[in-house]
Amino acid sequence: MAQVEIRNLEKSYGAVKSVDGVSLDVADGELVTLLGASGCGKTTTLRIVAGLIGEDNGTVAIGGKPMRGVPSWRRNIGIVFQHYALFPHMTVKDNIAYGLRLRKWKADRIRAQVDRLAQIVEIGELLPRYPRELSGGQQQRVAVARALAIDPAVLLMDEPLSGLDASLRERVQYELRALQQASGTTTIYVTHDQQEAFALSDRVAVMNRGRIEQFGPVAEVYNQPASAFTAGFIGSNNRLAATVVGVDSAGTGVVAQAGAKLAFASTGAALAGDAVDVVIRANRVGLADADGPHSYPARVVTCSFSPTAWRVLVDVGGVTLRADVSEAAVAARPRPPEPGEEVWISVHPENVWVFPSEQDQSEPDKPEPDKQQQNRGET
Amino acid sequence: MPASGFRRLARAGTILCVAAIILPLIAMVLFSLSGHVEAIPTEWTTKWYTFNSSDVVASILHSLEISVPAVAIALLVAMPLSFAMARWDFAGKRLINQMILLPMLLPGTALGLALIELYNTGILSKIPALAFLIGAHVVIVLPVIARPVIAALEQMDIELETASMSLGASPATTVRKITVPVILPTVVVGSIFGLARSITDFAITLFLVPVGFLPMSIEIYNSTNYSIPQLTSANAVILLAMSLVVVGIGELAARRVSRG
Repeated sequence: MAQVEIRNLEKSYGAVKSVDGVSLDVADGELVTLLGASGCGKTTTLRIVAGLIGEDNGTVAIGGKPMRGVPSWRRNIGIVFQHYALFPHMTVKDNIAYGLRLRKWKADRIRAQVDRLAQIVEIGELLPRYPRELSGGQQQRVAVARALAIDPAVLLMDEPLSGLDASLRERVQYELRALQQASGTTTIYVTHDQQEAFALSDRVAVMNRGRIEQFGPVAEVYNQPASAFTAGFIGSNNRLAATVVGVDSAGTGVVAQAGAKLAFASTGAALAGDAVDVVIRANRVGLADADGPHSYPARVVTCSFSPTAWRVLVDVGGVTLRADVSEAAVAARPRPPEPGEEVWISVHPENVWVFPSEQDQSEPDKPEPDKQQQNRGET
Repeated sequence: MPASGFRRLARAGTILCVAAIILPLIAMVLFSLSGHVEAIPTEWTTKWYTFNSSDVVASILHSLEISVPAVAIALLVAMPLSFAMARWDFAGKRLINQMILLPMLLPGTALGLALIELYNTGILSKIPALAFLIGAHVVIVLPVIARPVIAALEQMDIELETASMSLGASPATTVRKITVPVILPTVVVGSIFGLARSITDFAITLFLVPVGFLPMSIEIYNSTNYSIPQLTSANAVILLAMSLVVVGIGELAARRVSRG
């Protein structure tokens, strides 16, 4: 158990700065997730902490000890890999005992530790099997048991659930969270899946282009995004490039794109005439009964049902907005919205987030799902 | 249905291929058991198997004297070579890749002739003839071992080594405990096929054998001097059986090893 301090970490591959000044503190026993799209530098950062990649600049300290020059095999870290990397020529038992044998533990102590971990991850009956005889979920458990068996100072997990199907993934998320909290192992977790990051983490570091865009508790990152990137990356969003029309003395500004004008709660940073990025969470765009405060006339483009919310696409003065409307809100209406129907939508100014324009930056809304490629690229 | 038509064609092709390999061997075995020169024996006999048995036994030993050290040396060269080829990028890598292939592509006669010229004209003639022959066998065995081993190393999940090191194993320990065991089945199979390739080589060996030192493949050829085709067949059957035993042991060993 130990805290991890990362200071101004830098790593370049040729002209590409894969990690560009990352600083991060992970408290003892905490689970911190590095969240970002392909090639954002999260895996590279993890591998530098693991000692698998050397940093160009900056420092990593584990438990207060600087790690520069300390090879991977002397760092006492447990890694759970994306594809588990179980040793195919060893039984589950020998896989888990591998690190303990290297540490020259006595046979009875090894047996006790292997049994203890097998019990924790519920794979007791699988100990004599070979990895190829296990399902993906079982292999994942063995990988976690193997990494935890050595009582690592830090547990590093690189997209460990991406190989599991959706329902199993969600279950394992709960289990991993419980397991990590029970063992109190300081953990750094890497994923591109925000759902997973939220389900597992104490704190989340959103990464983009080798930098940390925002680092904070899960709820804070979700509710108070610090940049247009974070706002746009997390959740399901409307993102518009707009211009500030004006800000009144009460602190309510108006942004416009095409014929749509929306009120936002100004923090004083944006001035009239500024080009800005506007982010509105889809689940904070509501259907309204009639013209009221913060309501705008709109026309329904499409409407479809999903298990979490009705997805309504509306046209507001030439701008298309996504509204995720709760089932209850739709049920309160005589019937679900129909394409072409004139409706009112409500968007509270507090929920219209205005950020300085980042138009020069790449479109971050769609993380590439091609994990394989990302790993090759980052490692 | 076109699918079933294609399947029928594929099956016929398979049977034809297997027949082309198996039938001559069956004919050879039948022939070796025949008292007279006829395809289907009317008089069955095993006398051809004992006719020149002392020569055959000697030639088997000679074969092993060449092939076992050749495979051992080729293995020692192939392992580091394969590691370098699979894991590192270096100048001349592609050239080496082609060179490894070369002995498989050249006609044995050409290679054998080139080697004997080299031996006779140069300073190499100071080397004992048997050592030179073994060296030549190393050259022909090397690609048989190195090619599958390189492929196995390239296919191996590199994260296995990463995982091993994260668990506390140094790179040397990792190679010993993870990398080598993972590719061991391939190494065993490669060595066995290398041994089979070496034992059955005729063309290159013919040029380089020391006087009076007859390995199996040459002994078979020499047995034609008796003008008893059945005798040659009998000797060939012994070589065939040896090859089958060697390959069979290899397959079993590989299966054993890969099981853990």
